[in-house]
Amino acid sequence: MTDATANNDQTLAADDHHGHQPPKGLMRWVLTTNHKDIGTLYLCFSFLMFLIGGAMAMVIRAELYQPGLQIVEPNFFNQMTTVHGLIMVFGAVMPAFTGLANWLIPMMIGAPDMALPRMNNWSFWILPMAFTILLSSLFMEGGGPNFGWTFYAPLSTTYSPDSTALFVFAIHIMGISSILGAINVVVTIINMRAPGMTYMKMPLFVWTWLITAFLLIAVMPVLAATVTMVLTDKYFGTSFFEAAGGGDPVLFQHIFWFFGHPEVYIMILPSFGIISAIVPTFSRKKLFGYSSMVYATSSIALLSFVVWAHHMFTTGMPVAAELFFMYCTMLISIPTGVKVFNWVATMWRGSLTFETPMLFSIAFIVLFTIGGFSGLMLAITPADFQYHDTYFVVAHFHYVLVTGAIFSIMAAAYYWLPKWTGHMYDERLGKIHFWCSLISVNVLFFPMHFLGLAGMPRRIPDYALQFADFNQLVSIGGFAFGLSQLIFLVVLVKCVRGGEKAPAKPWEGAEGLEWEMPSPAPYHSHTTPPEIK
Amino acid sequence: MQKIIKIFATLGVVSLAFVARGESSFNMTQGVTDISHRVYDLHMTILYICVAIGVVVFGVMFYSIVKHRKSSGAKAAQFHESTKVELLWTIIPFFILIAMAIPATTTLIEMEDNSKADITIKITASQWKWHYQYFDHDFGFFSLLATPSEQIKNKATKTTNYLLEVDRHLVIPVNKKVRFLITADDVIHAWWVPAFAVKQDANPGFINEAWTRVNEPGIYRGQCAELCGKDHGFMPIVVEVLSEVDYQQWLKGQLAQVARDKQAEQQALSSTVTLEESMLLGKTVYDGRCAACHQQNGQGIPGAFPAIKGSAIALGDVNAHIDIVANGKAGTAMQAFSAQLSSKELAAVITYERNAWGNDTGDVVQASDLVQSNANDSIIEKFDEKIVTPAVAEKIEPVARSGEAVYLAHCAACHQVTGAGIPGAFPALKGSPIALGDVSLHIIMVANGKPGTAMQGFKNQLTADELAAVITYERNAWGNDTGDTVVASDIESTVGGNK
Repeated sequence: MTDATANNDQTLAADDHHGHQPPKGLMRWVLTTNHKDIGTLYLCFSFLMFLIGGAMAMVIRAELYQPGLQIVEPNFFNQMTTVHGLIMVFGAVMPAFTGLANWLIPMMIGAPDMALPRMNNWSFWILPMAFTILLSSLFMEGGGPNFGWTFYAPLSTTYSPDSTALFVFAIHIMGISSILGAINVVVTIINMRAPGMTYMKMPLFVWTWLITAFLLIAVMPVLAATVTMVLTDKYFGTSFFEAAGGGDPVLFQHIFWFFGHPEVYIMILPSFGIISAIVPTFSRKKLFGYSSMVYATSSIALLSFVVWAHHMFTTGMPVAAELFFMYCTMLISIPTGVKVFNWVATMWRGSLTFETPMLFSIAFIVLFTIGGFSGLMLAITPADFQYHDTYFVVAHFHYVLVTGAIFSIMAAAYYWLPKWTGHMYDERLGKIHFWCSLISVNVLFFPMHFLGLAGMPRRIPDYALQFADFNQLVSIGGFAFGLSQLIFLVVLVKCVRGGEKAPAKPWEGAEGLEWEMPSPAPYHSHTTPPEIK
Repeated sequence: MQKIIKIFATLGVVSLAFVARGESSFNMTQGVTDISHRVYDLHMTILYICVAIGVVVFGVMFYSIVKHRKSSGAKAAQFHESTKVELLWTIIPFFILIAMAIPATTTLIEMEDNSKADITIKITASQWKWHYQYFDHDFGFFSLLATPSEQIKNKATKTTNYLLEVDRHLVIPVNKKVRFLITADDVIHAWWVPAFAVKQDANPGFINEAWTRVNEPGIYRGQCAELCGKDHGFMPIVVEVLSEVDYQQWLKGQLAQVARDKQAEQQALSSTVTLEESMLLGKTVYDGRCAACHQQNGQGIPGAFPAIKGSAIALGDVNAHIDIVANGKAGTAMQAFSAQLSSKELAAVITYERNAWGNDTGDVVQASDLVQSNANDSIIEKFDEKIVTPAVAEKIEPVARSGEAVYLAHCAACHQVTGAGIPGAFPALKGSPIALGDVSLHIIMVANGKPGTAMQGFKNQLTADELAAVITYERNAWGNDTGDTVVASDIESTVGGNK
């Protein structure tokens, strides 16, 4: 380890003719192998995708503002729900986490960079290509993908638009990008920790990302296989999912959700790591149970492989299978509960302050837990027959993904912005952003629970009159939440361009190697391995 | 801060009060079956448990937020790690989960008990309509959205049951166990009536089971619950539950209607309609059945649904046009409409397509053209079916008629009442080599099934007499007319005795 770092130092010294500063201009970003540059690229890209996917959500909410068809045709509405889902999952949340991993993991474990810097560059730069392909399919004759982000066969095979091949290739490229990113994270964490940084000393963000990376490597190939089968069923006459040829449309759902359920945890485990870093900082108190958090994360990851069919209770499974998946799904609430209890116990008798990252983290704990509660309700098979494919489910996964994953990403952005930019963000604007987001997001998603319970199916462009009032309220919440994110854009731009100079450790209670280096973090960090206490 | 907490607490209490009110637009319906009541109770129990946990956990957290603030001088304690506490908050939730799992399991097992049904109805979903087949009485009908498109396009005031009205209700009797066999012709749909707590996917090529026993007569509404394409939001379900007496009355009326329809079908063959008449009826049929994909202006949706205006099919050979409308096009969303429309309607809609939007071929297709058309033999057969009234002609022995009952109960779900199967999913028996060929092969197939396919072995499900009857029926119905009569001893000598 020490030898490797020493070698690294020599290489860096040899490269030193342009100093420690990056080259200027566009090519800096195209050719970069620097983990911080690539992290920045990922984060900017994911924010752009967040805005594009959000714009599609605005189209959806505008159409649903009142009953009747006003703005878009049903076929285009279906394209909006589909592409909104795909972009938010693969374009916004996942790249944001990869961006955070790139920026933070080397700094946190005392490594000079990611282990595989050239692959790192490639794994980012194929993403814009994938999303260009996906978005361009919307402009093709017949439109883009309109079968939901879950692309159930045979709707996505025999009955899908001509552009389906573009969708398949876009997913393939996104999958390759994710796998490359995950390999890089695993290799970096296993090989490049500073001397003395044992596994059980790693920050929880690193731990949760390590587990996430293994999940990615396990399930992204399954997704690739699924889309490939869709491709051959549609274009090459195979019958994986076609009953007429001896296939089975339910097989699609088994394979898809075998990917899909671990995917859900891929989008939430890094959040747990972020919250476990922020809550102790602003409580000025150590995390209550570090090792139990590690064990809880691992058990969630393992359980995520045996719960997939809880998405499929109405497909006509045998009772024994329904019971098995119900029990396993209920079990997941135990390690998840352990996490929530740990965060609360960390806050208990701390010395709390409420800067923007802490506000987002507290909102995360409360609202993610509400999403967890509705998840537990959905696990109960007989009740799921009523909830399944209604707005109750839409409410559930938006609580988990928006007020869960995305709130944690925002918390992370506010928390580490001083380290990234060297400037403090505008605290007042940050707090305005938080309160606007918090109120609007609940106006947006909470009434969806009632809509679902009252019987409104998901993915419909028009609805019966008894759903009109709540839908109007939801749409207003949606527009407000969308506009609130423009405040975030302003905060980010302001912080990058200037502001109060940030000290090396802007947060009183913060712990970790990243806070021991100056702000902004130098272009090459930890050129000599730090000392681990 | 305390003020904010007070506001939130009040909001919480208010919303809980709404939820606890029971039947409301905020909460799940209690429904009208024993099962739906149990599901509702389960839902409320778990909701209350979650709320209780939430109150405790968030209560502790908000207490901490108020009391342990740095601004009010709180100093951080230094405690962390406690195996005792960790164990406690792992084990307590575990017991709470067990308490939830017990009622959930018993309810689920009861829901999945499909046995001993009084009535069986097959539900077939297709883009974007439902078909209900009454197994016990050999008739069925389609059920389509009845909300006028003017209301959807905001050109007319929306009525009370906007998007939840259909042209024909599914009618079932009260207090009877009704079993639903649910399948689909094209993509996956899901049949959902919240008041019954029944939601079951309709998978193409497979049959799912569900059941209900409704306690109160009334009209109950639901919707398709699985994204099934463009008009997923426009295929509602309406179930009318009648008293036993009213149900029998309704049934009588339906059977009389079926007989009248058959007569009308025959009359249509011998009558000649003018272009004007045909165009009028054709437009109604077209707007109801075809416009969802091909659009009212006949221009389709480029890249998704082909145009009819100026298309080679509408301007070209009449027989080819009849063929595609009557039999559909395999591997596409184009359905076979011969099973859905009368021959008069089919002729009219084809006439309409050949003359509307400037297609102006001047062709008038008559119902009789459909039968005479040489475009495809199967069309002729399909229309023959509609005309030959009883599925089993009188000349067949009584044994075959008891075979018909067995067939309807055990075979028709897959092979269909008409014996035509579902092409690509379930083979036809009508004219099939097995039904027309060697008797012993036929017996072995029915008794032992065919491994690797959906064909079950019926040896353990039926008596030798029933087996003999159903095989006789299959060899003589639908024009198979082999004249063979299979008896119980044939079964025993071919495949041995059954249990």
